[in-house]
Amino acid sequence: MSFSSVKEPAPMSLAAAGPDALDHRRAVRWSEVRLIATVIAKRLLAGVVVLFIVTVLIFLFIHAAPGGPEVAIAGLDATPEQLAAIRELYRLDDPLPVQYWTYISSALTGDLGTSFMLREPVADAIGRALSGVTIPLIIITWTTALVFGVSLGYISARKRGQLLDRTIVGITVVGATAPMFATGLLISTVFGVQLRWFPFFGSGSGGLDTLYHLVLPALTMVIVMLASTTRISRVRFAQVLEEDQYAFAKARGVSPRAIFGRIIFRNSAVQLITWAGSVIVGLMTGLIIVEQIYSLPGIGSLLITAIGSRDIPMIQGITLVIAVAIVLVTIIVDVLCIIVDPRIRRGMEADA
Amino acid sequence: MSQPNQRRRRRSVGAALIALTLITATGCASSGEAAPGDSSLDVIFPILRPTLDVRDNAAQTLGIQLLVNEPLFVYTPDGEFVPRLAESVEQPDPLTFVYTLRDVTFSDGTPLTADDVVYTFDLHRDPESTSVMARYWGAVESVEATGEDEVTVKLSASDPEWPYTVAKTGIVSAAYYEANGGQAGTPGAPQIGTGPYVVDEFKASAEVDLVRNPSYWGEEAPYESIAFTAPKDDNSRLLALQSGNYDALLLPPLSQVKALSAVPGYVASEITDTSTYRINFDLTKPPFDELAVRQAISHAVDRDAIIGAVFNDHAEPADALVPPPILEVAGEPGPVAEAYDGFARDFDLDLDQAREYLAQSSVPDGFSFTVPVQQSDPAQTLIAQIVAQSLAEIGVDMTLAPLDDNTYIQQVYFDKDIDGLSIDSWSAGSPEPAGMLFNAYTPGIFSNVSQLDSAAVAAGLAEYRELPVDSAERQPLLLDVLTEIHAERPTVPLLYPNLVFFTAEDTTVSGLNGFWWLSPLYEIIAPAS
Repeated sequence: MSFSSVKEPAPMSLAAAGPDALDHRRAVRWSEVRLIATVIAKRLLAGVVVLFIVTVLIFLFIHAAPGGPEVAIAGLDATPEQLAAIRELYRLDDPLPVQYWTYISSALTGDLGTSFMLREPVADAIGRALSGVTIPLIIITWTTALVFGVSLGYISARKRGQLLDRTIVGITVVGATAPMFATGLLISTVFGVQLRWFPFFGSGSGGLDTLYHLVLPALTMVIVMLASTTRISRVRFAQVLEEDQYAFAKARGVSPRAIFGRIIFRNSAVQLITWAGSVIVGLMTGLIIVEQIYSLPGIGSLLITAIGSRDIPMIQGITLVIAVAIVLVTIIVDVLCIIVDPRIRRGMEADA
Repeated sequence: MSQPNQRRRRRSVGAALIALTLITATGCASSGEAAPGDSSLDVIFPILRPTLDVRDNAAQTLGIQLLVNEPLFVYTPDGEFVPRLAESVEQPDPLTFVYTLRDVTFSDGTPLTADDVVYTFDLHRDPESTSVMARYWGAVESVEATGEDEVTVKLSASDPEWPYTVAKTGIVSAAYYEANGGQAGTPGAPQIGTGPYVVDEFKASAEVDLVRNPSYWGEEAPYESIAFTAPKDDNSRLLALQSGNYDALLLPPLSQVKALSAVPGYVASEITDTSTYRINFDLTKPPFDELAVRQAISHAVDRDAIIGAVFNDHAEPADALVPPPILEVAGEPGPVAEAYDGFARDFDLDLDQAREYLAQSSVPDGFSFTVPVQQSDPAQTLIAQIVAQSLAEIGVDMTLAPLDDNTYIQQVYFDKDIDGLSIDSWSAGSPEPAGMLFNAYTPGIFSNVSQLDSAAVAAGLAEYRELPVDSAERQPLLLDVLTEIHAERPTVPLLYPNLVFFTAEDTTVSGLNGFWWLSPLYEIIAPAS
């Protein structure tokens, strides 16, 4: 990066810049918007292909598994006639392509079907699990892990090689290397049973009470996520702090705030955004464990129950929602990276 | 016992605390003041079902369902059928039952009608029913509303289990079911009934919160609310009890009883359960089709080692499939004990005898096979490991194949696609003394894992079906049937596990038996005062 890029901007109004400069800026902005729109369109197209492949694979895996849903529905006392009637009721004996077409054509209209086990629309159950547990848990965990992880990474990078750096890295690594269920058990015992500060069981009765119930699950996941977030941000911050631009800016007397915002953070942004996206994807798998530990009726628990009972519509619905979420996160990450880093934009324009 | 709304108050305090907590990272729990007779019962339950639909609940979870949806008759711990929604029942002939209904209303204010009862019964007996209790309705020929408050049920054949089926069937509102388009009993349309409690909140497979039905027609229940939660693993269960937030923990895994007993403030109530862990031989699969092989295995299995190592002695050795207390309903304990002692001799651990039997078979040098085990039941895996060690002593090589529940049920019960030996736990579906035998040894049904097809057994059970409920011949006949079964050795009964309730010291437990779920829970776990 050139030295000029860290110059403090000279105060200049748009009017003072003249009509040509204004047109140029508008043209640049328009080309950026077009570029981003193109990227989104391409990614969405790729996402649709990915989703199609995911739905086909999940569908095939479910049907390849032994033991159909009628086993879980009717139980051990079932009669052969009853099992046959249930298979007929849910059209489980239709050819697989017919079953897949029925599913995918309904899904495209927003109808994910009705759960065999829950007797309610899959969308309702997923919506309840997402809004009641999973989304609040992801948001709390994600923001906390990023804020604390990036902060600790920055402190560590500034103090690299010193006792504070080693302490931060050491503690976060210990937290990350402990199995999540062990961390959850320890946290539940200390904060739930001994100190009785927070509940460690269930999701509460909604609103603030649910947030209160999610404190310990979120803490458990944050501890696991903190090490990697801290390490990633520490490494990137340390790289930037060693670059010439940082030394020159400091020598020129640029304010610490501007140095952090314009040099350190901006130059680390792409890595941090990419990592933030990865954290969300990683959280989705961690959720399954943490929801079990804290008996939370979220999307992870729903998926485990659905797989155990071969609740085909529910398994398909949940995996589709997760796949859509991952595709969307990937697109958002790409777009944000393009916005914050002009080098990526130029590279893409050059490719175009 | 949790104090009045203590749980809710703790929640609201907690909710208020969260703002402070998130900022200051400090907080504290709170407790409320008690008001006499205004308490809650918070229960840690082993498992909760995905819905409160009457078609989806059986056995233990009926203990919750029947608090909301009352049956026509209640089966009491004393073994009596007491009228509940029915005022009376008459039998103009042995196969016809005429129920006269009580004049009561559902919790939404609509009256209970004969049509509601017919609708409920049809939910189970419809040929396309998904009901887990559908099998018990096989003998019902017709159900008709024969008056505004009268329902007539006709059976096609004598069915000793019918009174128990009635006691297990909570009555639903037909109008509510129709209005909710098949979603009654889900979180979006929680169940309604005539019972002493109504559903306050339901989270599928996770939580059921009940509160008193303010318009209940009968005597007011002692608890203002009853809440059920189901931990998903052993650690959560232990921590939950240690937290002191719960009044009772029902049916923990027996391997965990020792750890749970160390939690102060709780009393353990323990009785023999009405289920049996057993080894099943598929009589159609070689070499298990040979009696000598089955006898060899019967003498090779160390049942005491299993009871000690897997159940920490919270179980009794089993000498036949049916636990003795079930047979004692139909007579005196003495003849049962005498017959069972006779069976026991053929299950004594005696490796020399086992080798002798094996030497008489077509596989004198032993053989190899794979046994499926259910991953969800750790006890089953441990039992199988001990059995494998025992069988290795006589040259039989048994390999374990862990399976998830659905695959296990499909392979073992429905497809019978196994090498010929399985290990499972089988529970009595009702207090009917012959119920387990009907289930396990009726030719052609899924649950006849051993595929026993004995004319003598079938004739004995058929004769039993025709006997009046109060006949003195019932118990001797069942013991004869058991003797016939024993001669074939389709099963090695291993043990009867215990049933354990942990309850807070300020409650009392009474009337606890293997069919506790047929009685209102608040009568079994009552406030001490």
